[in-house]
Amino acid sequence: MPLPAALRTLLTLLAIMAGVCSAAFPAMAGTLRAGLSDDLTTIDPFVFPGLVSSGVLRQVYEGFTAIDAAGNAVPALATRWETPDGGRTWRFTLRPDARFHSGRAFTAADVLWTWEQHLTRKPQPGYSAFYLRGVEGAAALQQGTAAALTGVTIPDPHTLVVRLTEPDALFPLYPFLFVDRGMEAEFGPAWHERASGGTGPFRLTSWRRGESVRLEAHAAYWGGAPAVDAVALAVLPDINTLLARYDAGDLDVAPLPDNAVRTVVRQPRYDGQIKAFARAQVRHLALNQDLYPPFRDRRVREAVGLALDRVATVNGLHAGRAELTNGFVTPGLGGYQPDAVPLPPTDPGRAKALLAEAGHAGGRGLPPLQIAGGPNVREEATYFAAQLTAVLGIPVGVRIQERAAFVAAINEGREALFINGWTADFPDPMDQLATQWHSASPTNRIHWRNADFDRLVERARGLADPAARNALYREAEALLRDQAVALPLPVPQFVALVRPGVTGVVIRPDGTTDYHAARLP
Amino acid sequence: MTRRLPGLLLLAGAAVLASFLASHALPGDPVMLMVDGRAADPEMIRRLRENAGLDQPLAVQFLSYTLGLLRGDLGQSLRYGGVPVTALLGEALPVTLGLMAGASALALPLGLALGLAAADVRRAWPGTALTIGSVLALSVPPLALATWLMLAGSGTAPWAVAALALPAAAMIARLTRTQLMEVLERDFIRTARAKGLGRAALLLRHALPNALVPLAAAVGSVAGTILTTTAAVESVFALPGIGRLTVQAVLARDHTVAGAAVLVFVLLQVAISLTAELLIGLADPRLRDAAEAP
Repeated sequence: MPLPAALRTLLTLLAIMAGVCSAAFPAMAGTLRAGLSDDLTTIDPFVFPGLVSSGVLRQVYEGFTAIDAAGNAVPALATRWETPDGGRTWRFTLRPDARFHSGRAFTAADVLWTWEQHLTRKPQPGYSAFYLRGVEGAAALQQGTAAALTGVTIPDPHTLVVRLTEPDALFPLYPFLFVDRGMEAEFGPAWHERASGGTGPFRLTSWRRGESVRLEAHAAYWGGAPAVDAVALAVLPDINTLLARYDAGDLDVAPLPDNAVRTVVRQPRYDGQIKAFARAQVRHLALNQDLYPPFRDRRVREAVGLALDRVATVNGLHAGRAELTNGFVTPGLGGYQPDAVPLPPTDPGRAKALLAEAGHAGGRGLPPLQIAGGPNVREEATYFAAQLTAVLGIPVGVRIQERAAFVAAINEGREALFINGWTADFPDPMDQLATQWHSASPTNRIHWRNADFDRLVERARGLADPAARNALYREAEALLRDQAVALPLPVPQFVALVRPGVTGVVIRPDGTTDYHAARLP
Repeated sequence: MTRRLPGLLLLAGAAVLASFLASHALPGDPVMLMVDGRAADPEMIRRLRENAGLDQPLAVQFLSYTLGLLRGDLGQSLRYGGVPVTALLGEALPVTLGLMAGASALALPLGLALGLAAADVRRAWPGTALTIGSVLALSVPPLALATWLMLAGSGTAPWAVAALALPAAAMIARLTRTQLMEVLERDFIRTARAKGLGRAALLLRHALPNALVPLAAAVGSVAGTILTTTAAVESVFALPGIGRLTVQAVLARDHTVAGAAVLVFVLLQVAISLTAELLIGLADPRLRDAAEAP
């Protein structure tokens, strides 16, 4: 029986709309389906990727080293890296069996081409230009006074020697993404929109902006072909939509946003489907001594720390999925010292006594304060504010701001007391110590300055031996702890719902998900 | 139509200015958001800001933006690393238009059918049922209705169409019933009924055509409601349309995209109004002739 025209049109439109949705979840055997917390901002490996894009691009492109599940640097495209002079010259032995998605062999010339692209890109340099600033000749190439990166020599296709202007023990750990130098000649300047140019376990085959990403297995991957044929990632920023899709069987993996973990993990229907992974992040309650003069007294800062019950927040706010730490180096990094100095227990009596010693008994003479933070710390800030008010007698409120406004406020030094965190870009404590507390760092957001601390991290940068570096990091950490410049807070783990029978999915400490070993039931 | 052009241009200009100022008035630095709040490389931050023109005074930025618009250059996205805004709109617009078309195609017949069924002068309950149902559909905030339907339908897109269509259908049904009830009281209907015409023929052949003119006038506001609701529905259902693009652009302080998306919304609203006027003219040529008279 022929359908009326209007009904036909309606059914056609509904079918189109159903197609919009199903495109994100192609029903294909061997395809692992996962959620993404936000859209990618780029698939161009030369543009700053942001955390979400980085998570996807790291399946596609690789550097000298990678980060393993325990937060250690492990060989990726370099099998060996040596320095004869304490980190000033680096000799990399490259993996001979690595092939790009194009089928071309990965060689030292690709490394050099990638670096030169970062330095010469217009109108702005590639994001890795920052990590290359210490390479001899980098500045000249960037300014156009040299035609090549003179600090790099290539003795043979699988050996690369890099000379730096100053020792940098961390150079092999920087998060480079090496690109097939043949891509531009083959596909033009916007090659990344048409083809996949990395050596990683997956090829990027499609990105539907705001909707989905598709990765397909790289059969010739040096680490062995992935067990799944493809990974289909659906952009699902809303937790309700994410859970609805997971519950409907549309997703195999659903990484949870931090503020949803507590409610989701307590639901019996997800028993056995919760997977938690260590996170290479430091979190702290930062005290700005410039903005709130009473914080210049160490006793006041210590009193704030003793008034807070941080242990209670692990179970109360994070449902047990958080690491309690008293350090300034994250649990998800190789240099982490879990038992170095345990967190002092909450001690309201001692906190009150310290405040009285400082001349502020019962909070007398202390101006009101507000704990500032982004929307994801609302409950934590409220809890701590109530404790500070009750124990110390300081009127403490909460100022939750939208993320952009909060970042602007702390960058401009407008917050006296705030909750902030830093996720490691590369697997070494330097990333968390120097970026947060070195006096010259633009992300030292409380503007704390200490010459001893600066000297310690600068010396560590010149030590190629990780054990020797870690010894200096411990000293630097002790100094931060002794000065009570900020109060370490529990670090939430990465938590994901993983469908029963799906194995091998790993969220690395830097937040990137590794699907290489993932298997479907 | 040509007489309205200056007014429309003025409206578009006001929309551009309002969205530009609103976007720039928000606290927060788009460049810091681009780099996830990680300012480890001050040189990169400086170059990003310079390339986006954000180092210029606000008036210069606005002038440059407006001149670009007049040349047909909507600029580049900050959030998406320099992708032309036209490309983003080109990707998002079909999704929103598809949603709107689907919702209209569902709402119109559904609303008409419900309105017709409820326009029963002999019994009170169909009208009461329609009133209760439509009040419910129109009272629930669009975001809540969309969330409820998303959960009910496991987030699949046809339910997004339903989330847009249900309030629109309720509006159409109420209007249809009200118009029909009024027409059914007129003399020519009484005459037709006295001649023994059946209820269905009376409604469809005589009452409905006379109720269509005011209905056509209301189509504009119904379609406008559908359009403004798309942002909530697209966000809840994770559909990459103009509404969701706008929300994301505002959150990311992606000024160029936010401004262009608002302009698209204004142009769509204008297109809807003009189409509604055209429909009214088609439904009743007397109104068209009156509008065209000197």
